[in-house]
Parts: sequence; C-alpha cells; structure tokens
Amino acid sequence: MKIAIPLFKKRVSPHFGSSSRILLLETKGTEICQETIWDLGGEGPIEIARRLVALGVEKLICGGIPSHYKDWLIRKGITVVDNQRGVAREIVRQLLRD
Amino acid sequence: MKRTTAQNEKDTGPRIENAPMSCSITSALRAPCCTILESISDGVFTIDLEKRVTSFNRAAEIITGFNSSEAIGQYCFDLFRANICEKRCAMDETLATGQPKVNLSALIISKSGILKPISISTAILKNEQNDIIGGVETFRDLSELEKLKRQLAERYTHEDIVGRHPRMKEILSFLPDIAESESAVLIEGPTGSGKELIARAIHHLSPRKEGPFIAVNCAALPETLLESELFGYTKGAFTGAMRDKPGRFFLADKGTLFLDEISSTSMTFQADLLRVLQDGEFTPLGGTRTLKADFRVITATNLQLKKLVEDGEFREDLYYRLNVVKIDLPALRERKDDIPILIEHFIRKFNILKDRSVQGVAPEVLSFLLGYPFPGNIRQLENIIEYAFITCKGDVIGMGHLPRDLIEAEEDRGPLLSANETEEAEKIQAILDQYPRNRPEAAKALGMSRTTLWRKMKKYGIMAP
Repeated sequence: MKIAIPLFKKRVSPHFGSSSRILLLETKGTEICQETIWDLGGEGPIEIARRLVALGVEKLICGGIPSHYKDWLIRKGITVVDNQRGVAREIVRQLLRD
Repeated sequence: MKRTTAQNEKDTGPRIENAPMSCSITSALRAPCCTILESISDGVFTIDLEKRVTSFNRAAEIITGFNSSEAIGQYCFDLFRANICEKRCAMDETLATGQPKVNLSALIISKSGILKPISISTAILKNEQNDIIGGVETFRDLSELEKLKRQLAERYTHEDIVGRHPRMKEILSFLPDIAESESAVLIEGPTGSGKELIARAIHHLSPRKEGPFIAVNCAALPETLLESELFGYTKGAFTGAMRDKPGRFFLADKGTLFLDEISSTSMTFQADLLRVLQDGEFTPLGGTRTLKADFRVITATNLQLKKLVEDGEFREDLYYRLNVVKIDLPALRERKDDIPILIEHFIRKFNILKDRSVQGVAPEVLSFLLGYPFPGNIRQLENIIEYAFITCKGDVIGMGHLPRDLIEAEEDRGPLLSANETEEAEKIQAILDQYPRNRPEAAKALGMSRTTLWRKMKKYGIMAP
C-alpha cells in the first residue's frame, strides 16, 4: 500500500497544504518496505492533492485538511486518515498494527 | 468555570494564595479572575516554553473546534493548525525576541476541516520574577469578513458556496476536476441559484486563476451592443466610436470568459460566437486585423438549452461546443435542508455589513421560509433577510419583519404551488431579472399585460428586483 504523510519536521504536519515535505511509504502487510521524501516547491493544496492521485497513493495520513480537499481525495479512491498528531512513523506503525 | 489541569498547575508554579479560582487562563496568567477572557469573542490560549497549551478559552474552542480538555497539554501547532506554524510561527518569533506580534494573517483548519482566515497577535508571559514562562496568543476569526471582501472583489472560491445538500456536495466535489480541465462548461440552473458563483469558483481553482475572469450578461445588452462589447471596435467603426476599444474576448486572454444568459442571444450572434470558439480568432468591428485570444469559456442559462435546440431557438453545433461539461444547479426548493444554513449565512453577512447583532429568525419564520417555494431562489432569500434587517430593530427576525407582499402572497396562494405554477413563477422571476427596471418590457417578454404580471407577482410572492 502506498501511504503519504505531510511532514512537520518528524511529526505529521498539522496543516495540509503548508508542509514543505511529504513522506511517501510503500508497505507490505505490517512492514514498511520503501520510503521516499517528496520535497515540495511551493505547490498549493490542490496541486498536492492531484499529485498524490497521480502517484497512486492509497492512504493519506494527515493532521488538519480542508473538507473539500478531503472529499475530493476520497472520491478519487484515497483513504484519508485526518486529525492525526504525533511522530509520523510512530503513527504509521500504529495504524499498520491496527 | 474551572478548567485547571495538572499540566498548567505544573507549568505555572505555585498559585497566588487565597486568589479566587476561575478558568485555566486565570492560572496561566496568574490573575485573580479572568471571566472577561472567557466571555470575549477572540480566541485566547497560553503555552509554556515547550509550546504545550496551558489554557484555552471558550472562543478558542469555538473557532478551532477543539475543546479545552483536548487542547491542554498538547502542542499548540497540533491544535491551531495554521499555515504559518511550520515556517513563520509568530509565537517562536515572540519567544525569541520578546517582541509582541500584532494582527498577523493566517489560515487555520478547524477540527471539522473548515478553513478559517484569522488574525493573530502574540505576546510573552512572565512570572513575578520577570522570567519568561511562555506565551499568549489571541486570534480572531475573520471568515465572514474575508468572505465579504472576496464578494466585493468578486474572487469567490468554493468555500463561498454554502450548501450541505447531497447534490451541492457532489457538484462541489467535482469542481477541482472541472477546473483542471480546459473544457467548456455549461451551467444550467434557475435564476438566483448561484451560477456565477460556481463559474468564479471554477476559474479560481483552475490553472488560469492568475488570468482575468470576464463576465458578460448577454441578456442585459441589445444584440449590437453585445457584439461590440465582445468583439471590440476600432475608431470610426460606427458613430460615436471615438477610439479603439478592446472587446471582452481580447480582455479574457489567458483567463476565463463567462457568458451568462447565453440562451437570450440571437441566432446571428450564436453563429459569430461559434466561429470565435472554433478558431480562437476574431476581428473587432470596423477592423481589418484578426486578433487571437486564449480563453476558457463558461456559459450559463436559466432555461434548458437542449430544449431550445429542439425548438430551433438555439444552434445545435454551438450547444455541443458549450456543453462539454454540464453542471445542473438545483432550485432552492429542491434543497430545503440548506435553507437554515443559508439564513445563518446571510444573517452573519448583514450583521457585519450593517454593524448589527441579529441572532437569528423566530421559529415561525423558519417554518414559513421552509414552506416557501422561492421562485427567486437564493437571491430571493438573501433579499428577504436584507429587508428584515431594515424592519427588525431587535435581535430576532419575526414574521412582522418579512416583506408584506411575501406574506400576503402566501396567504392568497394556499399551501403549495403546482409544478406548472412553480415553472411560471420561475420564468417570471428570470424575466424580471433580465429587465430589472423595465416592467412593461418584462410583461411584453412574458406575453402578458402589465396588470397580469403584477397580479402573478403578487400571487407567487415575487418581489421586483
């Protein structure tokens, strides 16, 4: 599964669209098998959302996200796990365990 | 109002003995009482030096959507969720320099996903020994003010489109896709249903958002004037053409051209428009040089264009060129669930515009409006609320504050309009919008006498625009 997490240092970014980096993970079962960082260059939230769809991301883990972007991503088949806070990798591991 | 926690007690040190306990802000600020902070409309929270929240007032709860028990002890950025938290944190600067920040603009995302513009001010907190123990941040929700500014500047986004009805939500969820494509868009919907709002939202979501949005109401101009407005003209093209004037096609270059009431155009104009859309080229009136413009076209109509094509009143080839993506906006009577939130929206708007503090409408007014067919749709509801702001001097809008002709029409009309009556009422409203200051012309366009028009307006509760 391809997972994306906008970052604020090592934590989940509290504001979708203002983050300068997005962590992209590829998981298999409960294991993280590949990870990359996508450095953003000032793209707005709609451009980021479109790129996530183009990249084939299946799950977005984020803090706050405006509801219209959330609805749009869901309609594109992406599962949005919002209102998350904490260290990004710990949250991913927790979600994979669950 | 006791909201103290172990967290803020730990961070703020020993309390002032015998000081009356009140809210958590009291303890954070070490003031004996701060009932005022709990009753003001500005959000206020305090943090310790680790940026963990030590107090969170009632307005902060309302604006962010997080209650104080969720907030206290958490990092401020995880709750505040502002677009400046990562790169330009105001509190970081204040804590580093000791200097307050005043009225910084930012956008936060509330717990339920609402994007809210706010203004922020920050200051440091010190204890009795003059040591810095944290910071205090105050913030004001500017959502309504910003909406009004956007309305004045006509820079609508899809946050300005009010509605929770499934059809409206579906339309909104498609807008980014529609905006991204370069396809022509046809918006159909009854008069006053927000067609231009949708067109502007598409433009501002599109890659052309930095370009111009040029709106033309085709019904408001006679055919010859419409041609000269769109194509432009050269000096001497006709009597009174004292200088070259660029047309709207030219002005819309790199942007979006919105043609409202496209159904009211003549077949000749439709043929000219089709040529421009096919070639992207046009020649100003009286000119010899062909100009090029790159614009996206969005059209709107309150009539069913397909039916006009079938009746031979609209060119089929133009219809298919305009109707690549079609948006059907529902009438307000089909989305009655949205009436209460639209009422709230307009009350908030007029409270700001008219510096009032109207709290809402009386239950009987809400019941009346929920049963009203609204031939003039959202615009009519807005007009009713605006009228009530004139007649209502108190906090709650009652039945006596509504336009009298509206109530009388309802009393005369009986419980419900038939489908034919509703259609007729909408048609009358649409024509009146086309001829806002010319009742005889409106009656002529409707094929009825002025007296009949007046009688039908009274019957359907239609107010003159």
